[in-house]
Amino acid sequence: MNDQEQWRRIVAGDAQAFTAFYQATAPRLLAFLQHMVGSREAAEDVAQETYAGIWRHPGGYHPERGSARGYLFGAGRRRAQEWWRRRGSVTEEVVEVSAESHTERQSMLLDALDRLPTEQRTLLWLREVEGLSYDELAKTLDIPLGTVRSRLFTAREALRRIWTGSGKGERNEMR
Amino acid sequence: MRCDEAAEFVSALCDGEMITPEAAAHIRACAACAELMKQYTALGAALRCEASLALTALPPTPHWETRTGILTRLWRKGWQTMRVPRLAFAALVLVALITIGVEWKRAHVSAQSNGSVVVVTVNREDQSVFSTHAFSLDGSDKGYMSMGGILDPKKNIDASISLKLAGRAEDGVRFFVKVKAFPIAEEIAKANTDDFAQLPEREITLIPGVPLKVAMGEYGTLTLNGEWFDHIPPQVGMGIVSIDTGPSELRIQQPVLLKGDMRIGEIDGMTDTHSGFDTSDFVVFPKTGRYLFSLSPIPDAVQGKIEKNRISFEYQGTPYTLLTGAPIAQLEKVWVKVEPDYKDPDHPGSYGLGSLRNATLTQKN
Repeated sequence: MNDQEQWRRIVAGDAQAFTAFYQATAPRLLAFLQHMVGSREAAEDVAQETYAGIWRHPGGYHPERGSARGYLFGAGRRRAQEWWRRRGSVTEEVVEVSAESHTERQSMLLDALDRLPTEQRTLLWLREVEGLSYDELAKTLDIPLGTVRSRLFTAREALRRIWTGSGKGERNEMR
Repeated sequence: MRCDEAAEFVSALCDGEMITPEAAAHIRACAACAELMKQYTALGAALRCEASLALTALPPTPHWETRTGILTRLWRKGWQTMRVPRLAFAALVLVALITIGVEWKRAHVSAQSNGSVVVVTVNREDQSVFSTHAFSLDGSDKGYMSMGGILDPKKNIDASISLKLAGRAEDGVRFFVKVKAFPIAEEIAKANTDDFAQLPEREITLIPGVPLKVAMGEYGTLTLNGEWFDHIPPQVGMGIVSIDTGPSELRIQQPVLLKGDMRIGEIDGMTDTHSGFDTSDFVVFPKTGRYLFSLSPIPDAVQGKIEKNRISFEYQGTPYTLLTGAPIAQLEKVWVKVEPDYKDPDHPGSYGLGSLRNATLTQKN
């Protein structure tokens, strides 16, 4: 069953098709949301809201505008933003990067990622981990296509600086 | 091109994008840009590696509730916020659904052109119901069915119309019909002398949905109205609109008479009802006679008891029970006169259900 057929069945109310979609995408969405909201528990809540929202209104996805995966992560990102707004806080906790040993460097990478502004973090994750194209990134994040390349460079360079120790202690802010 | 200008193109190369020739020429020749590309590439790989490690077990798959329409959601919302007792509301909805269902079925069946039952309602000229009978076209209704009553109360005219099924016709039913109408005083005088069998017989075709007028001699007309059904309606008869009887109404619908535990008579598909205390309902069963029921005392009658759809009375030491298909009356007391030797002067040996005025009964007796 291809993506279009699967989505056609989801729109028709086929719970089995939606379960298959959930099982195929939920682990990756959870990993993404965990870096958006800071905890596994909150990520599960936001993911649940995301899937429930799509199940109730599957008509919000238009195949001609991109992949279902891009639509899902875009919806997850918006839900995460709502989650932050409901908490009444726009500032995430600052994590100090103190360990410098080689064995810790890779595990520190995700901590470094968490120090990036939300938009940069989202952009990098969706590009590097999820492999979304520039076009999909523009549509998913509602940004001009012509700015995707420069924004990605800015995010990538910021992460490199933090990772290599030159950008320690920056604050992340939800926008 | 300087390295800080080429850095964005290095990033683009890591994304699999094409870049300008100038930027490509610089990056190929610049060791610093090559090192930057190596770092960016390593960062991406490291991110994917960490993300892969972060993929944990999937939480239990939620139960996706079947999507419902807006009406259902509004219904649920209304149900959850309801302020009236839910049981009462549910009962009201149930009654509404049953009513709608009955009406729908009635309309649906009536739309058929070849039902197995045709209900004939006979109306007076003022559109009041004279009588109603359900004729089954399965061959069980072979004899004449007589319907009698008051044709014109202002002129004291009684009438009788007898219908016998002759068969189906295109879009309708053929009947043999006999009619008679007399002033009440004259009828009393001739009651036992008229030979109904000698009355002229005519054939008519009744098309359900098309009123058919039948002349009643010099006394006016009765109008027959037919309606198709696929079964004998439980409340056929006399234009009954409510299962509850009126304050002075006496209704006998599809009666079954029991003598002790033995069934001695039954009339299917027929109802007689009237209001007022000056009239009796009667049922006639072949070989068992005529039974008159009145809500007021009548001569030579025994007192019985009405309980919903049954009348219990005792005659010559034997308990009798008349069971009917609907509530009989609001009152409990009923007077029952048994005429075991009675024979219908018009149709000896036939069944009968009708009403007659108690005054007439008194004069005859």
